[in-house]
Amino acid sequence: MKRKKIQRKREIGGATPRFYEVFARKTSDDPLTHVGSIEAPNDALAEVRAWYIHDEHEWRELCVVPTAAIIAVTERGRNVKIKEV
Amino acid sequence: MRFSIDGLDGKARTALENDLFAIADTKFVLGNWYTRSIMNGRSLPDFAALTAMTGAAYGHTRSLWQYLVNFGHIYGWIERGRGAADIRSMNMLDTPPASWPDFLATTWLAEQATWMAISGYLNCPDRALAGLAEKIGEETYFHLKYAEGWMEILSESAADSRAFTAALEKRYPLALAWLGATEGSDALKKAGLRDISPAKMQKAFAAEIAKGTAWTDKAVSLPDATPQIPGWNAAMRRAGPLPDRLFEAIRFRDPEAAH
Amino acid sequence: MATRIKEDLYDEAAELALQHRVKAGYVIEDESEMTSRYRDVVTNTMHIAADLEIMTLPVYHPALVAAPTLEDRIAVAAAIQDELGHAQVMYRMLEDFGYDTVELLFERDPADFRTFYMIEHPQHDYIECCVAMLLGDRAGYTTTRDLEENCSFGPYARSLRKVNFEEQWHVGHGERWVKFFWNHSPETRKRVQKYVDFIFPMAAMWFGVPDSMKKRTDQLAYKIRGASNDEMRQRWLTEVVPYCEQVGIDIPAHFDKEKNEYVLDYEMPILLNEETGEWDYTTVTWEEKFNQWRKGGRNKVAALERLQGECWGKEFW
Repeated sequence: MKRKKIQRKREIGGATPRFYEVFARKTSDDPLTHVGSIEAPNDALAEVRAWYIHDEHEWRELCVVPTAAIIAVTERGRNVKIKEV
Repeated sequence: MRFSIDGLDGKARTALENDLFAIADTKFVLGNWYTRSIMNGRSLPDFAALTAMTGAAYGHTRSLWQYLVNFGHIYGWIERGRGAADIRSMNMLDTPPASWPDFLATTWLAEQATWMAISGYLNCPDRALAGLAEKIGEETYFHLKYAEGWMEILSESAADSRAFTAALEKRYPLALAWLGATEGSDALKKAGLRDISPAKMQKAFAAEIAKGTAWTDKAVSLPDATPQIPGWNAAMRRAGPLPDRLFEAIRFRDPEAAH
Repeated sequence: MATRIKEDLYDEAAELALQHRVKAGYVIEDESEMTSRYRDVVTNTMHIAADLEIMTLPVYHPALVAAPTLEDRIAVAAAIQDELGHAQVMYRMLEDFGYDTVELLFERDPADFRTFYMIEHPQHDYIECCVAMLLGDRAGYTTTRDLEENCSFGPYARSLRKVNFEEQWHVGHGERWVKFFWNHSPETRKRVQKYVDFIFPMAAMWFGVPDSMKKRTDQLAYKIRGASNDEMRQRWLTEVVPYCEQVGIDIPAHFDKEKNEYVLDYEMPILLNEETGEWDYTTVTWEEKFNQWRKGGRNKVAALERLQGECWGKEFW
């Protein structure tokens, strides 16, 4: 058995991970809600990882957004742009 | 008129049974590939994704094996009564993956090939089988997306690209053979069960693989014609029994706890 | 990377003020609202939780391979997938505090993972897996329910909604299938009892030392949790003892009518013989027990090394 060597730039998106925020709702009546955050170096893996990690419900709607695309207003200057609801 | 397997003529019935066994058993071995790969995952979300794909592949297997009971088999026999010579999985999955790129290339080919095969039933007069095909399609989307995402990562390393291409060139002929070389294949189209012939499936499969590997540095050298595999059994859609080590890895143990 | 202010002495006035606020119901949403010690206590709690979750993968995996039917393999895979989702939630939150998940999972010395003894022993087959869900997941679930209800750090409390939703399923699955295997055959009944004998004392110790022994009460002071070790252990016993008695499973615990609470039949701590897999019910010193914990379960290092390595070719199967 050989040791894994994770190539950060290619596999996680840089020295630190590239994050995506996950939003979902169960029914048409529910608001689209932040349900979690996952790391992925590209959109394809972000989509899949969000789908598999957040399968606690059969969502009516699910989407992912790169955290970098989010502009914090109340949370500007804070470490965490989006707080889990 | 309600669809009934017993209403099919002998040739169509046999062809359908053979085709579904080939797909089901391939999914079963694929589920085992995913199982053994989980701890090789290269990130926490990878561990989760590989576990999920294990469950999905086994779920597809279960649906297909349950459907095969319609042909007069006992479910327990299908699941636990068969030996290495009875399992009809793709030869392509006989040899374990030699590396992460080989694992990705092979599972991607297996997912593409099994999807080609089962998608032929999307408009099947048997709505149960059509529904099964649709469900498999919904889940296959994510398995293919996983491979696609990882191919993007591999593309950024010359060494990984080379390893992926080499694996693809080695494995691809066996996937092509599996899709093409069927006995009584026209019987399914004739009976209106499947709306695509094996020849068309091979063409569509080849096109998908070409599209999906456009990122590789050098063009992947893939055969056009269906390879002739020595010892090919057309009904089983494979040559030879399952290798001992593979059968030992996949078979169900613990009969005391079976139910 | 988040900056950490390391002071020689915590600002005691600020710490006390925060303790009052959280006791009054204030929920902290951001690191900027935390005092140094609060931050240390909550990240320490989350770090342990994260390591416990990832440990479930190598521990459950043998049961996934050995499960006796396809349906059972699917059930084990689903349970593992849930646990990995829980691990994701925890390590993701630690990233916000400046931790590096790649380093934590793939570069850290396996001996440094902060797991508990119960999760350092593999489940060899499906029956062991179901017993582990019944008793072990139930123990974890007792902790995470308390955290979701009480934790003063909002994001952590809310992240446990998904965790608790899924743990409830695991515990239920364990209950259904332990009962099934108890009644399935004399052989499977023996196997259920054997694994209950093995894991019960470890699950009881999941909640830590008795309250009388606990020196640091920071988690309660900062309302990271609501219940004490003994309170949670009592909650767990209240759920597992009636179930086991109803099914007919022999366990070293009962309801004490005089004390009006559930009690263990033995006095903690006791030691496991790692070679034979059997418990010695002679009460030992806490120092001896801490030594056993520090040494870790036989499987711990190998299990984590497997996660950090890769097996291909002849090693794949």
